[in-house]
Amino acid sequence: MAKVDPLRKIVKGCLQNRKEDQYRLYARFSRKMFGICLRYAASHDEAQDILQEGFIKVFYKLPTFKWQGNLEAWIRRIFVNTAIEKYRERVYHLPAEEVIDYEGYASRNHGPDILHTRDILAFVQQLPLQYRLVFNLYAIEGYSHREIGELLQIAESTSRSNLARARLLLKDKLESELKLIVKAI
Amino acid sequence: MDPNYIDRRIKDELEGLEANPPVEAWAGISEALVLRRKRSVFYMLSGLAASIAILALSMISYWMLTGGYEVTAPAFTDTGTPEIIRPAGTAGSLTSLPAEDDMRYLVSLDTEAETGSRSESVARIVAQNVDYRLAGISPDILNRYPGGEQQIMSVAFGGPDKPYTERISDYFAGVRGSAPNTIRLGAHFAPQSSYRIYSGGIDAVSQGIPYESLEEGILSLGAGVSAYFKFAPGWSLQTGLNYFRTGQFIKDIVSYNHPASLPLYSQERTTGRVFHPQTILTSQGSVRMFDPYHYYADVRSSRVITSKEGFEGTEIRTLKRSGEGVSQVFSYLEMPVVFRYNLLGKGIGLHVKGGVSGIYMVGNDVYLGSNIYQSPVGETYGVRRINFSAIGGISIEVPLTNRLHLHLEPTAQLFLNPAIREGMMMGNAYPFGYSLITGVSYGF
Repeated sequence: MAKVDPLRKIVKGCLQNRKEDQYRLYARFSRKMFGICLRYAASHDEAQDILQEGFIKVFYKLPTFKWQGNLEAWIRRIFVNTAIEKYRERVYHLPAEEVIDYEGYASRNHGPDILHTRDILAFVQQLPLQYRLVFNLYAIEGYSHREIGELLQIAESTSRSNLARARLLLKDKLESELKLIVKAI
Repeated sequence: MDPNYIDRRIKDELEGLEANPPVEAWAGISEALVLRRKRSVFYMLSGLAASIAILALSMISYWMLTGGYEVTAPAFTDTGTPEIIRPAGTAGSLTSLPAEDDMRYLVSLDTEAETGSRSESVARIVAQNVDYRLAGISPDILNRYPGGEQQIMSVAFGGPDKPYTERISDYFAGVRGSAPNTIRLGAHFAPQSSYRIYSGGIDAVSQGIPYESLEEGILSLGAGVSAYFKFAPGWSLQTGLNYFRTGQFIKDIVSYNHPASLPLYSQERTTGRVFHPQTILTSQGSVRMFDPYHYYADVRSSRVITSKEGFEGTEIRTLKRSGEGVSQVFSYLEMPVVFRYNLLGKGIGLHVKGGVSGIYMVGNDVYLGSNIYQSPVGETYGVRRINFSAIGGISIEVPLTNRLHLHLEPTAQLFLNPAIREGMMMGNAYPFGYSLITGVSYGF
């Protein structure tokens, strides 16, 4: 007897609005997706917002998933798109200069500690909104500047310049943090 | 530092980043999914109700434009002085009259009509609106189809160039009840017992309040007007406009007032509104009090929330008990679309009925005690203005005269949506009511 893929069983249950299966799907992917949310968000609360919105979309769009690709990649794409939509909402509501202003955000002083994933995450989260988005899309998701330009409705050159500035800010952060660590040692 | 190094380093660290989401995240997602499902059911029901209403209106319009149910008689040629009509031989016999004489008309029989100086039986061909004296009509026919009924009958007319043969025969096979070509208009009042079905409450969210044992239904009175359209043998459509109230009595809430009946809370100078710091939780939303004369306490649970302790100018221990319980009442205007089917063929009508109604909230009041006909002391948050309900019941229709009918209609009604808007409560309360619609209708 052919063994039924447990993930397919869960998805089938979700399509029948079974709460237990919805929770199983959530439990299976929530840690990974929350990791993505944290990268795109400026704070834990914002990441939670993206997570909730993303999963609601996943359940809503699940009937359109045809098993022609990987479910995790499909869910991941929904989460990245949700983060981009959040960005668009923010851009719409914020004055333009707030989006590109990268001056003046507080630098964290961890003291003598090893450079941990959460520190690097914090550096990324501290990037201004648009830089953070461009950096995530380019450096981690592997999008090209042309694709990023289309997604964020900005010029390709703006995407390049945002990435360069993001790198610069991250470099400063990493270097100053490393100096602190070296000094402490 | 090489830019690619930064990219690589951060990618290595963050690409596969996993983190435990906050525990409350799933609760938010789950709640949103439930709300979405409920909303889609609500939209589906709304669509269904709208479709039924459009269908009903289309049928009524068609019926009115085309002159109604098929009672179009053959061309009526003898319009001179009233003809004598009577059945040939035994009532109901369908013997050999020539086909051209076998004319079917909608006939109204009236055994008590005044014609000239004396009372006698007459028949009225409805389409002609002319009375015809009945001659030799079989007592059997009069007994079976007494005054007040309109029936399709076969009528043969005598005339100068025709032999004097008349016949009234019933063609009731498939024709039930009273006249198919009738509009009836009526008015009614309706004593009603109403309450709610409470479901989906989560103890943790409802703070463990056992609403079921702390609330009970109320009695109220409704009224309205109705129109009935017959569109097929036995079938009619009822619509109209009704006013009714639903609600519940909140038990074990004690109210107190000042010994000298002075206000406990002051009014805002600019708006004249009273800031009352108390809210009462119920299974149908939160009740905001606005009457300045009363302070409330829950003697069995923790439903009274007070945002500011104390009063202006007096002490709690000086207050005196003024009443017990509050009544939470919602008033509605309703437009029903109800299909009725007559189970009996003649005389008293016994209809089964079922349909839906669109309901608009026009009143949202909370009263002290159980008297719901006094000044309100509060109102409920988040009450839904537009609602839908399902209606079912039976209707007993007793002919009082030819055109006037008495209606007695035991009717049940259940809201298809909660009375309170989504998100205001975790549990859902669906109001329902039993009413005895009592009224009269007049046929045209």
